[in-house]
Amino acid sequence: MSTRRGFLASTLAVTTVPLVARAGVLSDAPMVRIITESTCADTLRFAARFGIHSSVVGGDPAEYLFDLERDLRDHKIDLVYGLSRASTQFLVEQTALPHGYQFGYQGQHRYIKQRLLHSLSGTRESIDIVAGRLEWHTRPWAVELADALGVLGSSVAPTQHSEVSAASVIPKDSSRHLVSWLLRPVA
Amino acid sequence: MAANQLPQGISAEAFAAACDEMRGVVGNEWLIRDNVQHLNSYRDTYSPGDIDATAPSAAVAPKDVTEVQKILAVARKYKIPLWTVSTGRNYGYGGAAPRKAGCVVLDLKRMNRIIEVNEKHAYAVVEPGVSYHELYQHLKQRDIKLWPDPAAPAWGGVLGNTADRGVGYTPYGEHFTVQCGMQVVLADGTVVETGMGSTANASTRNLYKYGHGAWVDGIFTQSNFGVITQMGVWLLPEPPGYRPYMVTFPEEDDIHQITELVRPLKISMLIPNAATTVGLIWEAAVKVSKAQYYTGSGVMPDSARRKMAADLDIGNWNFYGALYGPDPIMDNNWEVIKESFSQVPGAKFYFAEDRKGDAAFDYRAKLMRGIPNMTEFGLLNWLGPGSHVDFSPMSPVTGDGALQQFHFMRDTCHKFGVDYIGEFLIGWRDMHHVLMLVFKRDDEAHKRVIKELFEVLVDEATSKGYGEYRTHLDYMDKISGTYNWNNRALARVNEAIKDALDPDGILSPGKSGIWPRKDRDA
Ligand SMILES: Cc1cc2nc3c(=O)[nH]c(=O)nc-3n(C[C@H](O)[C@H](O)[C@H](O)COP(=O)(O)OP(=O)(O)OC[C@H]3O[C@@H](n4cnc5c(N)ncnc54)[C@H](O)[C@@H]3O)c2cc1C
Repeated sequence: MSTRRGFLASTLAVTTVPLVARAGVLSDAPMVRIITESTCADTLRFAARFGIHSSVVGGDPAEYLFDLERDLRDHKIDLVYGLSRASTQFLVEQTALPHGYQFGYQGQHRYIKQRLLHSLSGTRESIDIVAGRLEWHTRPWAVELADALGVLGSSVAPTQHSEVSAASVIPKDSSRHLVSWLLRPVA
Repeated sequence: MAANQLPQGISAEAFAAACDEMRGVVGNEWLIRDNVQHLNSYRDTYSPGDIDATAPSAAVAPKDVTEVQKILAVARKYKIPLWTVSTGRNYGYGGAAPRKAGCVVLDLKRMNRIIEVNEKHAYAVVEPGVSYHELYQHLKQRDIKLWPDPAAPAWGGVLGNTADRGVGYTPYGEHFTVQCGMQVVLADGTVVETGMGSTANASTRNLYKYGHGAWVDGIFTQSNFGVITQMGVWLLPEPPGYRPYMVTFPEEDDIHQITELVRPLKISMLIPNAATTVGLIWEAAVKVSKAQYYTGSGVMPDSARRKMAADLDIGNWNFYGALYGPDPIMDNNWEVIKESFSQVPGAKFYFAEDRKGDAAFDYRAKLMRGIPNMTEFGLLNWLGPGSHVDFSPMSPVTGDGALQQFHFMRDTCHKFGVDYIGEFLIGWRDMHHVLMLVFKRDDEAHKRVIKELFEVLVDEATSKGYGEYRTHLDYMDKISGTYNWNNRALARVNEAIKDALDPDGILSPGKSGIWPRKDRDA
C-alpha cells in the first residue's frame, strides 16, 4: 500500500500519494493524484484505502477538477489514478489531455447477473498481476484495486487486454458500472 | 489519429510554412501540431459521428489581440481556415472541433483576463478564456455580491457560451440578453468595438447595448464573421433572499397543464429565473443508472419508470424554479406559484430542506443561484460510459406546443429503442426543449442508431414547424437548411455578410451552415 504524504485541504474526493513501486519506496517517487467519488460502497472503499474519508467525499467533479488542472499545469503531480463513474473519467481525461497525458491503464467493472466482470487494459505484466488479484480476491475488489497502484503505476500503454469475472452480490447502491484508470504523461 | 491532416487545398509545404509563421507569433508551446495528446483534446471524441471528419490539423493559442491579428494575417496569406473557440468545452455540440477537417483551431483560452468587474453597475468584462468557475471564484474571493449565470458545465466559458447563445438558470439565464459590449477582430485584422464602445470615452459601453445605428452584436454569435475578444456581461446583484424549489408532477401528459400554468407566471416575472421542467430520466440519471432498474434492451418499460420515480420521490415531470428577494416578496410569490401548480392533480412541493442529500436538487439549486458545478455530467452514466448529442427545438410556452413536441420526440425516440431524456428551459416567451440523446461511447451500432434518429427528429420537427436553436457540427448544414423561407433569404444575407467581411473564408467555415464563397462554389 502506498504511504501518504498529505491531503489537499481544498479538495474532497482527492488525495496525492507517492507511488510505491513493488521494489519499495523511491526517494523521488512519482506523485499520484487519486480521484474517486462518493457514489457507492465500492468507490468509498477505494477512497478509504487512500485515507479519504466518506464524510468528505463529494459528488461534484468541479470540487477537484480545477485543482487537478492547476496541478497538472504546475507539474505538481505525475500520475492520476482513479475509480469512478465513466463521466468522471471523461472529465479527468479531457483535463489531462492538453498536458500531454494518456491512459496507461483502463478498467471497466460491471455487475452483470450476480457476477462482477472486470475488463482491464494495460501493459502485459501489470494486467496479468491485477487480473489475478481481482479474480481471486479475498478482500473487497475495490481494495485490491487501490492496492494495485504500485503495479499499475508502471503500466505505460493499454496494449494487453484481459477479462476476469468473479461471483458477486450486487451492492444495493451500485450504478452497476464503474471505471478505473491511470493517466500518465507521454514519454 | 490523423496527425498529418491538412487544410483542404493546402500543400504540406505551405502548411508547414504557415505553422512556422504562427509558431513565430505564439511560441513553440502554443502551436499545437506534433503533440498528439494535446491535439487530440481538440477532437470531438464526445460525438456519435465520424470524428475524423471534424479533426483539426493543428491548434494555435494566442495570448492577446495583437497575436490574434498576426495569426489572422498568416491565415490570410496562406488561405488557412481557422476555427475559433474560447474555452472549447462545447460538448454535445462539437467540443473544440471544427466543422470541417483540417481547420486550425484558434484557441483563445490563454486570453483569460477578467478585465473589469463593476460592482456599482453590476457587470463584468471578460476575455474569451474566462470560465464560469474562474469568474465565480473571482467574485467570491473578493466578496463581491454579484452572481454569474453559469451553464451546467462549470468549465464552460462566459464568452464562448454566449457566443453560441447558450443558457443558464438564474434570472439572467438567457445569456445573449444580458450581453452588453463586445470587442471583435475582423478577418482583415480590424478591431471593432460595438455599440457605445465605439464612442470617445465609451462610458456606457457595458450599460447600454445598442449605440447608434445598426446594432451588430448579434451577427457575431453562432456565426463566423469575426473573432470576439472581449465581452461585457451583466451580473445579478445578490438578492436578500433565495429559496430554490421543486414541484413534481406524476403523469407524462401533465406537461400540457404545467406549461399553461407556467406561461403567465413567467411573463409576469413571478417566476423570475430561467426555470426548467425536467423529464423523469434526466432528473433520475445523475443519481442512478438504467441498469439499476432495467437490464433488458430497448426503452425502459413503464413499470420500471414508475418504480424509479417512486424510489427517488420524483415525478414524470419535475419543475425547478427559485424565489429571490426579501422574505415578504418570496412568501407572497410562493403563495401564487403554489396555488397555480396545485391545480395539477398529484403535484408535490419541495424546498431544499425536504431534499437533503439529493444530488439533482443540489446542483439545480446551485445553478439557479449562480454557483457553477459539474454534477450534470453524471447523466452520461445512464447507459454506462456515455456521451450525448443535443437535439434542441424551440417551443412556444403553450401546453399544445409542449405536448406536441414531447409526444413526437418521445415516440420517435422509442421507435429507435432510445429513452426520452429531455427538459424544457423556460424563457420569457419561449422554451428551449433540449433532448439529450445519450449513447454508449464504445458501441458503434448504438451511435449509428442515434445518428439516424437525429435525422428523423429534425425532419419531423421541421414538418411540424419547429426550428432548432443550436446544433452539433454534424447537423449545422441540415438545420440551417430548415431556415429557408423565401428562397433562403436569410441564408443569402448571411452569405453576403460573410463574403464582405471575410472574402478569403478564413474564419470558422461552415459554422451554423454559413460557408465562404469558395466552399459554396465547390
Ligand atoms: C452535461 C452537459 C450539460 C450542458 N449544459 C448546458 C447548459 O446548461 N447550457 C448551455 O448553454 N450549454 C450546455 N451544454 C453545452 C456546452 O457544454 C456549453 O454550452 C458550454 O458552455 C460551451 O462550451 P464553451 O463555453 O467552452 O464555449 P466554446 O466551445 O468556447 O464556444 C462555443 C462556440 O461559440 C463560438 N465561439 C466561441 N468563442 C468565440 C469567439 N471568441 N468568437 C467567435 N465565436 C466564438 C464557436 O463557434 C464555438 O464553437 C452542456 C453540455 C454538457 C455535456
